[in-house]
Amino acid sequence: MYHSGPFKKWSFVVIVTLLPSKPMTNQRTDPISTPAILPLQQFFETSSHLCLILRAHDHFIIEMANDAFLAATSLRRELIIGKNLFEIFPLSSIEDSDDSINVLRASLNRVLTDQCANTITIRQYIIPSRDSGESALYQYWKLSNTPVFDPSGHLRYIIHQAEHIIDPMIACAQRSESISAFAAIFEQAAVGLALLTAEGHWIRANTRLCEIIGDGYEAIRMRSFQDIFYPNDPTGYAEFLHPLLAGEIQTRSTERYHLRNNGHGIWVRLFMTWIRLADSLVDYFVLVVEDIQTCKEMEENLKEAKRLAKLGYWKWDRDTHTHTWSEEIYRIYGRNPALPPAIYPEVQMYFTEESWLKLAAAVEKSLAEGGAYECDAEVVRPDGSHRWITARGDAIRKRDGQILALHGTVQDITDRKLAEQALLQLNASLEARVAERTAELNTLNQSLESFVYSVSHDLKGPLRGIEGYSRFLEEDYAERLNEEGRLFVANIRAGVTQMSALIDDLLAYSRMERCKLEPTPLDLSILVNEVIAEYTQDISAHEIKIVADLPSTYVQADADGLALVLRNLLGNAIKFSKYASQPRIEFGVRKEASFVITWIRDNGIGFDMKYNDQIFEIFERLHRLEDYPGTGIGLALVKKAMQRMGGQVWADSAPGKGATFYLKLPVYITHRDPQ
Amino acid sequence: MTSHPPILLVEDNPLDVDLTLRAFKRRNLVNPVHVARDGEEALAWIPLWEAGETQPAVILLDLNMPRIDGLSVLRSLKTRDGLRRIPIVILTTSKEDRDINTAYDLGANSYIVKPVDFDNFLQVAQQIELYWCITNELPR
Repeated sequence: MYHSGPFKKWSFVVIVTLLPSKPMTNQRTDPISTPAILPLQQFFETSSHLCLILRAHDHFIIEMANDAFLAATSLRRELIIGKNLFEIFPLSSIEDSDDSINVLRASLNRVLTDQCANTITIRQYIIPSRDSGESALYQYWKLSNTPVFDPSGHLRYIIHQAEHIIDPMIACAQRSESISAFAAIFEQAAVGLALLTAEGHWIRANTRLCEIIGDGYEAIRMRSFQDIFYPNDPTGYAEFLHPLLAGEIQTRSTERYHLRNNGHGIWVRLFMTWIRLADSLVDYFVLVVEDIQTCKEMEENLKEAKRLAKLGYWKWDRDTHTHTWSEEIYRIYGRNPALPPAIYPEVQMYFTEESWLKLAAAVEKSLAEGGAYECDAEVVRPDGSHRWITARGDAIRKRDGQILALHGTVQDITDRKLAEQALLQLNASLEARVAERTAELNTLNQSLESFVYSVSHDLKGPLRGIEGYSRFLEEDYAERLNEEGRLFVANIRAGVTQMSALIDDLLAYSRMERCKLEPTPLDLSILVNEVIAEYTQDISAHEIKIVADLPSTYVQADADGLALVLRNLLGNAIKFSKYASQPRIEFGVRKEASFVITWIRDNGIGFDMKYNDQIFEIFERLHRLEDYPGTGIGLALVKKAMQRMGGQVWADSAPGKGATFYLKLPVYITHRDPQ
Repeated sequence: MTSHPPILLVEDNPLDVDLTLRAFKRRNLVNPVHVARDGEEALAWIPLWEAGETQPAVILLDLNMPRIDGLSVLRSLKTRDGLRRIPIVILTTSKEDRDINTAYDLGANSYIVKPVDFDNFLQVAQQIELYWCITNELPR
């Protein structure tokens, strides 16, 4: 701090020499007329310090003012000499001018009472501009008042000095002759920068700081640092600054929620440094302000996301043996948040034995080999409740590959696990039910089988009897029967034939449902020709033209099943086309990627497609028995057989336009030629 | 000409028994025909044969019969040293694979499905007679 040392002992001599014997009012005595004091007067007047000499006990009447003071304040000497200091002070009105006056008056009064120099720390004053066109200047002045005693020891005068505190940065920059570069760096910094007086008044601030605070600089400097960042929180402010002012630390940082004038708040980080710049005699605060709103939001979002995901993070530093746990881990394990994180072996208490063995093995492996791990584990909380987690972890390596730490996440998956377990249980009970139903079905199938067996045996026996005895009647008693009697016998035998066919087809259908089909590679062209050969007699009898130039085509099917299908379809084709004028039956085949489509087309009577679904049902017939005999089982049998072989059958027809039946079968795929 | 060995017809259906006998009669079968009306009656022949009664040229065995079925009779006969050489022809309505295979596994010598159609039935009777009573050489 500045002390007005040079004036102390001999100052009175100087001043009484300078001053006229009788105090002046408006007219100043020309000191030049006294050559002996000329050097002292020159010294006073040309001193770079801003000085006034005040009468100590006469309302602080201004006795003298030097050039520097007049120059700095744009005041004329004749206008102020002989006036009370407070007639010209404050120099210009500012908001806290009352405060300034009080402080100055208090300082002067202290000089009177303490009989020693008193200093007012740096304050901002508004200095009227020298040119009337310019607006007032804000300047930082440090005022000091020094007593001057007469030889008898009485306090006579007070030297009132103002030290102009120049913006230290500009001063520094000026000295290094790089003001523009320096100013640019200061101005364009990505963070808010400011210089503050010890009282928290703004000396300088960059645009970024104004943006962060959310106000113009003019408005900002009307308020102190405390008003802006610690409004209504003097305790917080004191706590923040105390370690700095006490010299305990050099830099202090904190995070504050700053409410802007527009009502929007943002999070900022403040760094305050107490410095003394080179060549400067006073101390300043350097303030760095960072907008950490985005950071804070992300932090909050992450925290919220972790909470929602029930995801905790931990880290274990191998060297320092420090463990870090996020809040969520405490929640998941049900650990008291006041406790430190559980260290590695202690954490075992949160797991079932089985889970711990699994998890510990994964962690040890990661620690040894550096790989990542993931495993599900069952957590037992201190209150006895169980949770399920997915633990994931990985090693952090140094540049040389050495494992430095492990870190990972713990995610609460209890809900999913419970759902999975419920699903497993449901599946198990479903499987049990399916097994039960299957057993029931098997029993039903067996009884059906024995039923069909009885049908085959028991129905056919009496039928054979009717047939046999009607035959005996016809042969042995023909002469005793008249024509009507013989017709009756013939009708009985026709009925027997139909019933016998019905039983045979029914048995075949039932067998198709029950039998085991063995798909093997079959050459469709060979099978078709074999089936055609079975019908040679009918074909030649009705002069049916058969077209069956199929290329060798291999399908995957059961030989007996497919033969039965082809036999039925060819039988139908013959039956329904044999009365056409030029009956013709054509076989065709088309190969697709994974299946083969073969068809049999006749030019017979055809059918209306509205019966398309019906014809494949058992016992469904579209024609009268006397026109087209049949059991109504053939196509149902075809459909059943195709289903059992993993194929399909469908038809395309129109009345009088013939019918085409299509079969779709899995193709037989082989890498070599299946010969 | 030596006396003709008999044929044993094991059949529970009286109509079938009658029809079979009539069919044989039409074909002028000379071999006597014994009839067992079920499995029990069939098995009753065993002690007689073992006591020296002339064994049949062929046994025509129905499968589905009350009390003791055809397959049980077949098993009993084919597991007896003195009787297993008697030719047994299964004559039944069943076309089931299961019946056919089991019958052969147990040592049946033939398996014939009884046709419903009487002409076919007569043919079958004739073939049985021709083959088993004339063509076939019996064990000695």
